[in-house]
Amino acid sequence: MAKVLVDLKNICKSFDEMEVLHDFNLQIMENEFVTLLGPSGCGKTTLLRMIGGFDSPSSGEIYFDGKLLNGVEPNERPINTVFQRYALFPHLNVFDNVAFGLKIKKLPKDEIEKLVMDALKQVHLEDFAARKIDRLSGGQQQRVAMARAIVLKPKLLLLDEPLAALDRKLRQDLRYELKDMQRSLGITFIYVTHDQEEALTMSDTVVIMNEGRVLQIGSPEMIYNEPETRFVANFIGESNIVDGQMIKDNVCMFEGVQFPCTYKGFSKNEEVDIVIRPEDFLIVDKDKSKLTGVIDSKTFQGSIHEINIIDIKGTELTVHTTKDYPLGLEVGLIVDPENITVMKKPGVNVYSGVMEADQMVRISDDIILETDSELEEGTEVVVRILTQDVLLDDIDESDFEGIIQDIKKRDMYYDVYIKTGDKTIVSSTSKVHRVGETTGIWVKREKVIVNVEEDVENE
Amino acid sequence: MKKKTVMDYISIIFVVLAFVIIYAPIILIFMMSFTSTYSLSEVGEGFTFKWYQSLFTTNYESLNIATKYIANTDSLKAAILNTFFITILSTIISTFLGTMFSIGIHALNKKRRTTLMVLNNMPVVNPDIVTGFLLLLIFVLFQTLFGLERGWFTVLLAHIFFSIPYVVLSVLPRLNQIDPNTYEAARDLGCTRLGAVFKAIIPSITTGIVSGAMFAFTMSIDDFVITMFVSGTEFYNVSTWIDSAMRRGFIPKGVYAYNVIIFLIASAIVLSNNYLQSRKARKFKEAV
Repeated sequence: MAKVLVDLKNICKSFDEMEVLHDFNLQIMENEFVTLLGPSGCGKTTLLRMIGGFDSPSSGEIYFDGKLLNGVEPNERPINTVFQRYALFPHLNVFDNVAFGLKIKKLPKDEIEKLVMDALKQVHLEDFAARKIDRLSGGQQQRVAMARAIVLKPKLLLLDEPLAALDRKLRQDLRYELKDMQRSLGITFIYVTHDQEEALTMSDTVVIMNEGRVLQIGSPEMIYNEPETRFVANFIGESNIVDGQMIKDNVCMFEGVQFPCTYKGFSKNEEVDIVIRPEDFLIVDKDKSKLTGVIDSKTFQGSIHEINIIDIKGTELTVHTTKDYPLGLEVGLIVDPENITVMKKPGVNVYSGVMEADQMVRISDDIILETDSELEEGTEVVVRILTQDVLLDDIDESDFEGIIQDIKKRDMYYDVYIKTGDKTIVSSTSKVHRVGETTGIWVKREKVIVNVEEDVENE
Repeated sequence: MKKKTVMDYISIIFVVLAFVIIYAPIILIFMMSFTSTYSLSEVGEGFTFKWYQSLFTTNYESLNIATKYIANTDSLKAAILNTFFITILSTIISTFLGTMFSIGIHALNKKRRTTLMVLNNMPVVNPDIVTGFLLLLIFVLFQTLFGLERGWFTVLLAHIFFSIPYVVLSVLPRLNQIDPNTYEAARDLGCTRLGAVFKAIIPSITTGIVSGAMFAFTMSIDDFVITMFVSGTEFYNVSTWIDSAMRRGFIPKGVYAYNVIIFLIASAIVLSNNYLQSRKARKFKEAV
């Protein structure tokens, strides 16, 4: 069985009150190629810097090979990094750049020479040893950075968007080279990128992150075929995401048409999000399917045609096909049950409330929250807070407190039901809590969504 | 060919006039430095090298051995030695301190960096007379507190003080140009904190450090105002020495020779620098 090489436990990180990583847990196996994928600002680079030793977590532990890594200086970690813009030393030539780490280790001269030339051979730069750094192309610089890191034979190599500065064609070539190198060296790679194509082609495991949290961990195929949240479905490839219901086990409905699918365990008629990839729709004659629409626009994209189809109810669906169809044609759409992904809607707490002075909203006598809404004092409102935005913390750090009534295990997290006064609030968290425990609760003010609404259902 | 207008002639005259005004005194100094007589009206009479020799020979005997290089004598030679002693030492110290200061500022967050840069630039925009006077006040205070007499040491401190901001101003832009991860890359490859600074950062910013040192050197070598305030009564550099000589109504001819030498050295540096730059640019073009 594969050994755990890196174990991240409950990592939190804040910069000047800004929370960058929230209770982050991840295990990385030996010889694994793991990609941290997410939009900029999701905390992926911060996480990499903490493993490298350039930042320290606000709380939580990093274990490497079973040993605690917190507080260990970067020069004492058996880990090397390839930086985004390579950070090569401009005053040294290619050879001396690669030899830098070996010289610090004070190895004998002939051994350094042998190791450096081996590393340069590995990145196909053996003829460039005497070159100055500023006389190299971007791709060559990237290879020098790789050689400089692997020459030290680290157990773990961190790569921070190493291909981001290169042009598209070169990027694609280097992807395969990197993957090959990882296999032949037998080093664990942690690769950070915002490019989903890179992540899918190279990795053994993809970790999708957003706003400092893990959204989904899995193989590239898993992530692509079975996105668990709307965000993942949108971020990885193109997706049609439509509102639907689960009629019963293995039958879902969207756009008023029932489709067989492979999901069960939902409650009857539960509202869900349905995800279908553009390439998974098949265009057929309009009388061969109940789901029909008119071709509204199309673009030719080399290998495929992208066709936008407006459905009867005004929903726009995108279809990729290799065949061309005329504009304005009414067509039918069919989809294989396997290709329908059903996602739970994110949990939401809904309350009725009253606006108070100074942008505060009163939900009950115990719960008064700050909000960005500038509605007038006394306005009756509906307050919505996503369960994932309800954060549990120490009592003195929080907005209000409550007693945990119930905990339900979900796929990647727990739903924690907390009673505060006569209200119950649900929090989705990956941290383990106990029933009966008293906990502090807080919600960022921008996550408190306030609307004026007539009809209020208290959930 | 296009006919020249009146404006063309006027502009040519202005340019010529400007250059004459700048270069005529230099030519005059050149000629005086080779003229054996003292009077400005006898320029060019009696060609001689003796004023140049005087720079290196006069008054050896009158120097107390203990104070040979920081001599409290009124001779020009002593003043020249003093000047170079102060300039070289203050350049070395202020370049070192300024470089360290820059690296420190660079590592701070933006808000603190801006604050420190304002503090750094203040002495630069401050008129010398204010800086000199403030330093004088401080040294008077030092004198009462620690019995520190004004002399070569206070001049050295003052020169280091006013040179550091110029070093920072030329090192910091270079630091902003290098890869932001340079320090971390060195740490990652096994350097200690200090090792990363000396093995990776400083070698990457040598051009900035050299130009900072040149700034410090030129600021120090011709300083008059601040030295005047803080040197006390016994210590002279060339500028303050010429000033006091002029008060006595007599400029030794060695001053001309000294100025010619300094002018030639400065010109040589500028010209060779230009040559190197253009050669580099040409090479770069060939490479591209």
